[in-house]
Amino acid sequence: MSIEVALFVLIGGLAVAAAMMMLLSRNAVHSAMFLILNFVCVAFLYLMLDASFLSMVQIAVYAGAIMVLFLFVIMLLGAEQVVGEVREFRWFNPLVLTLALALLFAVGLALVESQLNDFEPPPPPAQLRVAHAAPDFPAADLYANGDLLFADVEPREATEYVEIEPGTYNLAINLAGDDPALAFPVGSVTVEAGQVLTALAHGGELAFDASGEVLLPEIAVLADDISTVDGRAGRLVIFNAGDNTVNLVDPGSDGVIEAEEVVTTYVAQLAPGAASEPLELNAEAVSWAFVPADNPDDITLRMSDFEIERGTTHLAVVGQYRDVVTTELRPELYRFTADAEPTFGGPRAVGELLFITYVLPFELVAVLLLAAMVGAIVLTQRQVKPKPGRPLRRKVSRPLTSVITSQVGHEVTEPRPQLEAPDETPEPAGD
Amino acid sequence: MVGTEAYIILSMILFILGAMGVLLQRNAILVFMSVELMLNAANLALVAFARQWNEVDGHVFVFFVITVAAAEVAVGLALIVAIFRTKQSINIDELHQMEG
Repeated sequence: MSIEVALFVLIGGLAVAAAMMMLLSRNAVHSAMFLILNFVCVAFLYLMLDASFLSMVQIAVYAGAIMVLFLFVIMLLGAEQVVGEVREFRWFNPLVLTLALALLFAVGLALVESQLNDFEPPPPPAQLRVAHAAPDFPAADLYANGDLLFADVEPREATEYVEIEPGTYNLAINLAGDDPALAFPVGSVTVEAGQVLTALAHGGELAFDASGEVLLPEIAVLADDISTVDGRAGRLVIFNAGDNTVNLVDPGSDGVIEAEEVVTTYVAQLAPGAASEPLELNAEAVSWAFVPADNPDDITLRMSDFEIERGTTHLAVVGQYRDVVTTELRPELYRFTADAEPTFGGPRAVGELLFITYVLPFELVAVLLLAAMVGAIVLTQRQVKPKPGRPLRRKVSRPLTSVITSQVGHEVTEPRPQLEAPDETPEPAGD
Repeated sequence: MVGTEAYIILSMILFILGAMGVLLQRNAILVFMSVELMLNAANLALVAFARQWNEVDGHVFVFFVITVAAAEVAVGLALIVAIFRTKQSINIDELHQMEG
């Protein structure tokens, strides 16, 4: 039994035990504590399921904020003691138990029938991009099987990845905006499911060779590795588009290679038209140099302050361009980058999806939270204001004595005004 | 690696415990806590399936469920406080003045 299985059994058992204790506990505060324990166990299970972001949200929001609210209300109402009388419906408990067991049985049966563990998810869609590393050839359109795939790819630039159906595509290029029927075929590419490819155009120039053909760029198809890279690292792939086999070396802090100096070699014997294995490097600027494999003291091209960005796959192409003054081929370095996939279940992956694909549900949830806040305020508000349509006069039209009675607390006894003179009293006889 | 089935079974057990709590408890606050337990069990299943499919969409749904649960708790506890003010009790067996 591996450590992971042991941890799962331990944490899962603890979660179930905490849930049962929550139901059986006689004190509501203890129930809330057991529920917090259950939530923390579930957060740990999220970690085991590669959901690191949700694990933190679970602890902060569920075990933190929501349970504090529960405990506050329990304390506020003084409702710690769970009521213990026998309930009215005696047949209810066995019915609930039967239903629960039936549900467990049904789900267990469905799980056994489904053979969930044998399920393989479908591969992600294949992706293709074009990198234009032929600076002597102008901006170009790329056609796949006669359809325009990328338009107006500038020299020294790469397109974004586009999703593409698996299959074999005949590629053709033409000057940007030119007639598609006149596109020059430059080979074919076979795309398999789940592959991430770069079609790298290198060499070639807008000129004619001895037989009168246009010097077309060659297309090299590179399989890109954009899988998740360690948090502080970036990935570097070198492609040799020159004519000589080269080495990539670190010339040291002085930047020059003296005869017989021992230098660190990162890529050795990179043949023309070949790509190196991906190097995982710390995210920092490197100042390395390319030397010919047969003459390791002669630096032909420098990668001065080449920034390795974190979480990014870099493609560095050693190309060459024709100098306009001397009309000689000179080496040049091109740099193409692609974002590596974010860590599964990490904050970046969840955030990207949340703010790109699920913006509208996110807004709706925000509105729902606002409505809940207003609802909670309205529900707990003690005094209801009188409606504007109702006459307020009714309250003050009570008899004055009853108002005074309610204010003073006892009956007001006032002498009745003797407006009429008592008739019974006889007038003194004297008239 | 622990298979998805194990996580689904665990989530099912937690869900049933929560459902039993909802049906059997008489303290309204404990009923609410049992509802939270059920939501959590459903979240666990969603995260397990997200790993199986290698898609992060399941995590976004769990995020939404947690948000909705927070809103539900705010309104529900406000209701409980309002009921307690009028009836001086949160025993849900005593709250059937609306039955027909």
